[in-house]
Amino acid sequence: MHGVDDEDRNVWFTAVYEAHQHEILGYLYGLRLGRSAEDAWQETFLEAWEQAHVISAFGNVRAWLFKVARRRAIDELRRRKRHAEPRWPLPIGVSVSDAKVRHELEFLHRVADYNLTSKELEVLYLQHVYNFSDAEIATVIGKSSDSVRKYREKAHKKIAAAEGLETGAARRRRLAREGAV
Amino acid sequence: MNPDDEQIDAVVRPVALAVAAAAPRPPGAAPMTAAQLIGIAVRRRRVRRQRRQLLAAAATFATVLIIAGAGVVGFPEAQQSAGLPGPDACVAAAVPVTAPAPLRPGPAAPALAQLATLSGYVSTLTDGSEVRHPTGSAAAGTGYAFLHLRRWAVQPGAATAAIHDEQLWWDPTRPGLRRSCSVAAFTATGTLDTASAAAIPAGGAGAAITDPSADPAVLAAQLADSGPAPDGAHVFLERIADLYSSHVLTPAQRGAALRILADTPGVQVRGQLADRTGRIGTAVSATAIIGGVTVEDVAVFDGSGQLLTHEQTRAEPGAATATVSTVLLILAAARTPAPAMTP
Repeated sequence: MHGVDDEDRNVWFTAVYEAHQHEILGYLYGLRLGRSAEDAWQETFLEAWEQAHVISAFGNVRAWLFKVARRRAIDELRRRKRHAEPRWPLPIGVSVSDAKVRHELEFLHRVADYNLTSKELEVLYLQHVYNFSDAEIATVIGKSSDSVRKYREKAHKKIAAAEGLETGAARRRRLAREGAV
Repeated sequence: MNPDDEQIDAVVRPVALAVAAAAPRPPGAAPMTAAQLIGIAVRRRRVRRQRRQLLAAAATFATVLIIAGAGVVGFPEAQQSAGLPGPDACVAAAVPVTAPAPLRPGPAAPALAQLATLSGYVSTLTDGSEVRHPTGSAAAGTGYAFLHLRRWAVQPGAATAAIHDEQLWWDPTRPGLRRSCSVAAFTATGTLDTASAAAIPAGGAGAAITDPSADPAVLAAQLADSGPAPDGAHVFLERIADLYSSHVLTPAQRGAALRILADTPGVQVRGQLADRTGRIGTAVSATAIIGGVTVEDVAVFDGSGQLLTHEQTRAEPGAATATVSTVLLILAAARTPAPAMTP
């Protein structure tokens, strides 16, 4: 133990644990890791304890925890991929055109029909289920905020097309066309 | 938000929430308490440290054997440079051979205010404004990066030190040059020393962090990722010393490094201190207890944020005084128009 240094770390860690333990566990179970979700959860919090200095400097503890949890989930899925296919609704590396996925649950047909890529789906998932901002999603998935915005715009475009809605860009083009006429 | 995006969000949100709702739920309580997790983390850290100590001891032993072997058989003639100091000059450059006594930093004070102020000031500097490390005739960002480093390494309980003096010139696109001089002291066989000069490939001799960021948060992550998970302030101090000994940092990068130290719990400012060449700067320290041994890292930064020296001392349990285990002196960090030139 490091005396005072470790005491500070443990106090900080306990607060982080109390605030985020259930959400991270829910996120990992949501990624359909089964019982492995608990292993990934444990490793996520152990890494948080070890990297307390980094996370303190980083600032956004919640986004950092999701980032680590996601990385742990990917590791687990890569290990598992040799034996079994990952299952919905994991947006990580899962093709929504996969026949097994498409027929698994009825309501997922609606999402599958949008033909979203796994990244587009993941951005929407983190935005709507966990209320993350673009910058936070960028941290979690390891992309730039600009990339996240582009993923979301592409997803919106596909959904708008499937639902017969009009995106902002399409509306501007139509108005411009009508103005020209 | 754009009204059209709101319309789309109204479609997507229920679907996303339905997907989340359909996902398997955790079985009630979390698998472990915070205290249990802390217990596991502490045990893991202890095992890692023991493993690291074993590896370090093995590496030091191997290095000493290699240096001894090189001294006995001599370096090939092709690697000797006409202008390079011979063995006598090599010894002279590296004295004293006896193990150095620890520096005596002042009383500890919290680091945040002083280092944050220094970091803010350093970040406003422009290349070439370094107080003690003028950039010579090469303009900032051009020419070869040049570092002159001198290191002492002392085995626990030994009265003598192994010394390594190194001058490095490197450039991203052209071959560089490394001149080095090593002295390994052996109580049984006397002193052996070696000198060499060799070209190094374009891009330098390799660094743990290839492109250090000037953003403190990013640099902190780069430092954390450059080795095993850091488990204390002393690790950051060590890795920042490594960073300075493998790069000629810009003022913005130096400012970021100081900011990290300012924000790292456990880092303390120890007043003004002269390094072993008499250069005065702000001393910063961090202490850790590793396997019962108290290890203290002390670094001295000058007014431009340049690291002058980094030392590590060890105090065995019950020992009255600490002994030096490693010393790094950065004698120059600058840019030069060509290899083999000094500022």
